[in-house]
Amino acid sequence: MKQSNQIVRALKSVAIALALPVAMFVIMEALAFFTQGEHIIKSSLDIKNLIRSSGISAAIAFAWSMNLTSGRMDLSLGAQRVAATICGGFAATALGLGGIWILVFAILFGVLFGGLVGTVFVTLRIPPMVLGIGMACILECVGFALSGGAGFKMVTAAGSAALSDVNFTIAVVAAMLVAMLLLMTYTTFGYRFRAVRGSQFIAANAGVNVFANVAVCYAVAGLLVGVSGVLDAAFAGSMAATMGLTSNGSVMANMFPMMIGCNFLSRYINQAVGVVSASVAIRIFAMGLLVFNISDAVSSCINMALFIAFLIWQANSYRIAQYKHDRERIAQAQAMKKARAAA
Amino acid sequence: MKKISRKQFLSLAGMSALTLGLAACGSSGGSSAANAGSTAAASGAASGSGFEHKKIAIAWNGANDDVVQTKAHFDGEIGELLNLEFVHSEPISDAGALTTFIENSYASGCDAVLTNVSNAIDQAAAVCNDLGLYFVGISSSNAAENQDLPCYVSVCGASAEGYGDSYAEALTSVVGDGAEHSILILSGAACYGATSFIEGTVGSLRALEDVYGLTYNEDLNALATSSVQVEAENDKGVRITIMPGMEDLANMVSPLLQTGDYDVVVGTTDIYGSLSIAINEVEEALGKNINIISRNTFSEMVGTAFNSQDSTGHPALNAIVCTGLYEFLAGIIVLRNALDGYVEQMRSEDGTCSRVPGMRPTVITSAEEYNVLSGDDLPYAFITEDEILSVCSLLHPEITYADIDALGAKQTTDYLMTKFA
Repeated sequence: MKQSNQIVRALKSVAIALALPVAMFVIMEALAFFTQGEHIIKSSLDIKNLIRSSGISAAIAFAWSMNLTSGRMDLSLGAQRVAATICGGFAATALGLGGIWILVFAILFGVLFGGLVGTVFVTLRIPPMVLGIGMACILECVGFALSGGAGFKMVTAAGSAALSDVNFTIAVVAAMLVAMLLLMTYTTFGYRFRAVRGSQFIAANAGVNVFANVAVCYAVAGLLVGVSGVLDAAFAGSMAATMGLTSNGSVMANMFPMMIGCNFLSRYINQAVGVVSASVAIRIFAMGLLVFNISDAVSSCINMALFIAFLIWQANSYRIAQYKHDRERIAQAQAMKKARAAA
Repeated sequence: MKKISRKQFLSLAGMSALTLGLAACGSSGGSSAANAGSTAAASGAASGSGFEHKKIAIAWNGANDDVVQTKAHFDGEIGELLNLEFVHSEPISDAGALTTFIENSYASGCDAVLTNVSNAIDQAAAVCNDLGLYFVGISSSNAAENQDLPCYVSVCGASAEGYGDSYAEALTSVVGDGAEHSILILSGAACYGATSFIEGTVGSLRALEDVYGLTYNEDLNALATSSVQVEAENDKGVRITIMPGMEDLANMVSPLLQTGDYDVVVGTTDIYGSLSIAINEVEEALGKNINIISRNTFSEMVGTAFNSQDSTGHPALNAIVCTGLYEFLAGIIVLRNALDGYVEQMRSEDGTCSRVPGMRPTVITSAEEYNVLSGDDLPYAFITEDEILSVCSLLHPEITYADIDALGAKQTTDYLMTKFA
């Protein structure tokens, strides 16, 4: 009986995880087909691109979730991503290594940069957004100075073809999903993370080292953006060195799937699975928009409008429940009044 | 003496790092003079040609391989030859940052300013004029304002027609075989008004007009600056599609190429670097060759591409239009001459700033051409030291801006192949 309950629960989780991407696909496919006479997915290459871009998006969304869910908005994530990829790429090629070693070094630099931001945060207690902006400026300069402004050319790096292989991307995303699922659900770190997210004061009183936990959160976020940077550069051919906080653009775009995964889907399924599910759904939405041949500006506008609409709904969804509850209470009171009057 | 605790030390160190970072990044224009890129020729006694030591500030509009290479050449052999010291800016995109950079450069003792921030050259010329700094702007079009200012010496840079001709040459090498082709032109930031992207797109459209003898149903500028994907419909029925956009290019272009409708992709920016993997995947999936014309400069990546084949056995890269090189050198020579007291000869006869289009962007259409013109021992912009000195007023007082223009104009790909083969 207990076993069958578990199976039903697992199947229910799988169904919920698939529901959003499938629903998004059905909606966009219907819109594309009936208005433009086209399909969203035309060949196996589209599926490859969907997997690849969803993987990149999921990695960034996971990184956001490490701090943003606890109210710390790290605006240096984009710069960490750029700096980790450039430093990792240069370090690997300087040692005559290529392929997966670029990823390994980018991860190491991501952890280093993320850990540095986290350490500075817990040491100086500067508001996270302000610190993020300052650290982003520093890290952007690191990437820029190291590459002389030219960024890291993945196309010429030895073994880079393996990094853009879709099977490799699937393997990395699967490893990331499992690692995040285990880390956030079954480890002491995950337990303490949730405790800190609930209330830092209570967590500290309960013996949780809040500062260490926060610093590790930043380091894990750095690791994740390092992974996303390498996967992105492997497909796009290079990681450009940017200045003036422009590194944040690609990272900001992935806040939407993080919000859906962490704030909505996590009510029904594991948060890590929710983030991946939301990332796939948002990528399908983006692919659908391509069919409509709209400009970049309009496309961004639609994406952001949807994001804001989601946030508004998130912030106000309780009002519907409250309204229903109030109506029930009024109905009960009226019924009671009628009953008394009748009596 | 009061001891500093570990926490205080960490706080101070962190704050210092943060302050330095913010100072370095906060204002690209303002900080740049302090971050002078080079002092390679600072000795002042390096030149054997009798040039007085001068300092030129260069405001760059971006940072890429071209800029890195150009800076290295200027800080190296060019600075040494002309006894010039250069102060380089970080990437500058607006007039405000450019003004700050110019003011800082003036304060740090610069004598002249060169910039390729093309959307603000006329305003920059006015600032330089107020400060008494000679000024040369790099742009594809002539000055629109302030031409009369005495310190506004010249506007250098390949013209829109020059870019158009270069793209025409590159396209002809690919589609001029008489076969039927379908062309996808990636117009990049043309829809945002970026001049070089518009020139590249219009140039490509003009080239196709010539090659196929076709007439478009719409205005070329309207097609080039379209913010959405658009078909350049024409009377010959040749499939020509223009696609704008810079972000997430690989994911945007891949679905189009998967239709199998296109066999030529033309880029107004470095599309080989950003799309080669996506294009190769499509070629493998469809078993069809897709020709690539990209805007690049000489680099390890481009060299490898020219000398290797894609999955269909065709060249991985078919042609490149090199970003203008001579325009920077021409600007430096014009400024050197102005600083040596020959400013009137460097300005137009009618008393306005001169226009020096010079060399049109070099086009490379084969591995052979690339291998000859990418030799390590070749001079910057393919101009030898003797040629540079031949247009220096200090050595040849009769030289005018027109001679500098003529020197660049004769450097066609064929001429260069003969010169360096």
